[in-house]
Amino acid sequence: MSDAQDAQREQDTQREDTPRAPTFGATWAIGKATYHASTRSRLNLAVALFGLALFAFLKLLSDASLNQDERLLKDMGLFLTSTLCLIAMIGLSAHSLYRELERKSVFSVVSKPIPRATLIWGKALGLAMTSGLLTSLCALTWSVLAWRQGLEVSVTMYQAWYMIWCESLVVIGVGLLFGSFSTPLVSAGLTFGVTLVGRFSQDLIALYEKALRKGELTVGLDLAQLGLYVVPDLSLFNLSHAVVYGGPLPAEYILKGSLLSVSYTALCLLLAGVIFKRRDLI
Amino acid sequence: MSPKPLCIDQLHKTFYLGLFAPIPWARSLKLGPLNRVIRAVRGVSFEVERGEIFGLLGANGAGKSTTIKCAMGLIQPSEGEARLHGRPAHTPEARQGVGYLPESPVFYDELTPVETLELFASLCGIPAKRRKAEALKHLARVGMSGALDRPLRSLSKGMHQRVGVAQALLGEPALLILDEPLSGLDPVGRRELRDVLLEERARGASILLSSHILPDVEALCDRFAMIHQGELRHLAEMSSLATHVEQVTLSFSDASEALIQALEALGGHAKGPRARGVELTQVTLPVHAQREALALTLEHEATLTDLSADTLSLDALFERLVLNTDKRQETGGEP
Repeated sequence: MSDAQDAQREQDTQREDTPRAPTFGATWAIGKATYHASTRSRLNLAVALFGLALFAFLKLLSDASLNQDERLLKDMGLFLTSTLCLIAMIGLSAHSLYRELERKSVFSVVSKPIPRATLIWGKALGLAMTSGLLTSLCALTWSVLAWRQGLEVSVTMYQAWYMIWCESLVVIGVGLLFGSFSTPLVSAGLTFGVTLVGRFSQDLIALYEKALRKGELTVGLDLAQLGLYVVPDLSLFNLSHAVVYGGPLPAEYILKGSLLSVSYTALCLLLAGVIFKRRDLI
Repeated sequence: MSPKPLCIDQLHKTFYLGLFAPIPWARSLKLGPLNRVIRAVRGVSFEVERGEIFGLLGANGAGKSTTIKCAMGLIQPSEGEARLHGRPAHTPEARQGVGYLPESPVFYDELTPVETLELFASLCGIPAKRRKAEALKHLARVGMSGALDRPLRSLSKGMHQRVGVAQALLGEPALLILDEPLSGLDPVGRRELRDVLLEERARGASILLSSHILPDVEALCDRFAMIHQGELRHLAEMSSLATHVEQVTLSFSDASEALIQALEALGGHAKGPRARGVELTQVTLPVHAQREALALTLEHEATLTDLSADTLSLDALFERLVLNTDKRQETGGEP
């Protein structure tokens, strides 16, 4: 091998060994640590096991129903999966940043050569992975129950699970946004409020339009309507009706849901990053 | 000329607490406990030179940690600035090549020391294939090889401190900023850490060290600064303490009562223990009275057995600084 090649190889090795400014790697590392911390936490594990145990109750319910076992199993299965995921993600996302600040573990992380927002994005990534795991576990448990009942897992069911995960992304974004400037209790309350309004946003809009037609509008209702534009339409992610009564949904619908989920989450995380950057970490 | 590793320039930090803290124009309103103002740091300036160990000393609540947090960009200064290698401290680029140990470090309880260091190695931008080796190397340096795979929640405070030091050492930083690195460690751990810090200085790293444990600071640091009530009160080279003679002690084997009285008149304090059956009188005098004391010794034809210079210890300097300030405040003087 020539001297020039040796020198080039040495240069390449040196370049490889020189610490680089972290980019996606740092976000991924924080995400992985958040995922490990969430899944190894005894409390979270207990909550997940409790949730999965509820599926056993679902089996009893469907056995007791009259010729409605399939419908009940699907409907309740999705409801349980969605509720479990949302409650877990509201709690984890609202508490996640505060825990770092309270325990002061944040100092070691943000003192590294990374933008502060990396912590927010990393946390979101880790929680998204946790939510993915939780949704998959629920789906697996449901599938075992369905298999025992002799039911097939339809494409719509997979779509519904995917949309539940997409919805949990939005909740993670909202939770981290509120968590970037308030206490866990306040941020959990606000996130729960946004989730609740988001789930019923279509009904609320319908109510507003009804009031508009009747001429019963007040300033309060106008403000509420304004709020509805800010809150995401989470009813889009609820595919229970399609699962029970309809067939698979078109790819455009799933794509629209994915886009809404990703863009709304990204917007929340950007805002959270801006707020968090300005905070004094005492 | 390359910029200094750390430059703190006229740093001020004021915390506004209470109900109206988020509203800038309402902060100055005098509303008792509803509006509280804490001036944690007031006009602190110092620089850390390349390859030196610089000690930052002060009592609890003196403003050391706030200064350090400003230096790491964790807190925005109210006035003045902190620069790391010539760059504003709050930028991520400035923190490249800086290792930081926070006071009483806490990490993710569920991770093991190796996983923790791999995480921080990743944040430092160390390539993936080198992360584990770096983690193991630095954990071994701080004596953590025996607890590599135990979750952090099962480790003691001293072990957390060691993991904290190890993460600060990752990537061979040019500047180490260590907030109370010796606290929580047993004597062996303190000695091991002192050795690590000396190795780092030998490598060429600059170190800013904040500590309460003055003998360790005295043994390690090249220069030091003392902060009290948010203000910089003293900045000097550690070697200056050894040359700073304030008192001299004269020992006599046969001092007459007249000589003792004459020396006491010069501001001396006499004590006379018996040593090896010989009457030995020691008189401690202010250094400015040394010449006159020697003249008196000759005049009284006393036998001078020893003349020693009493240098100022860091402990004494620290005590004097804190006590003097507190006394001035009690008498209504300026702090």
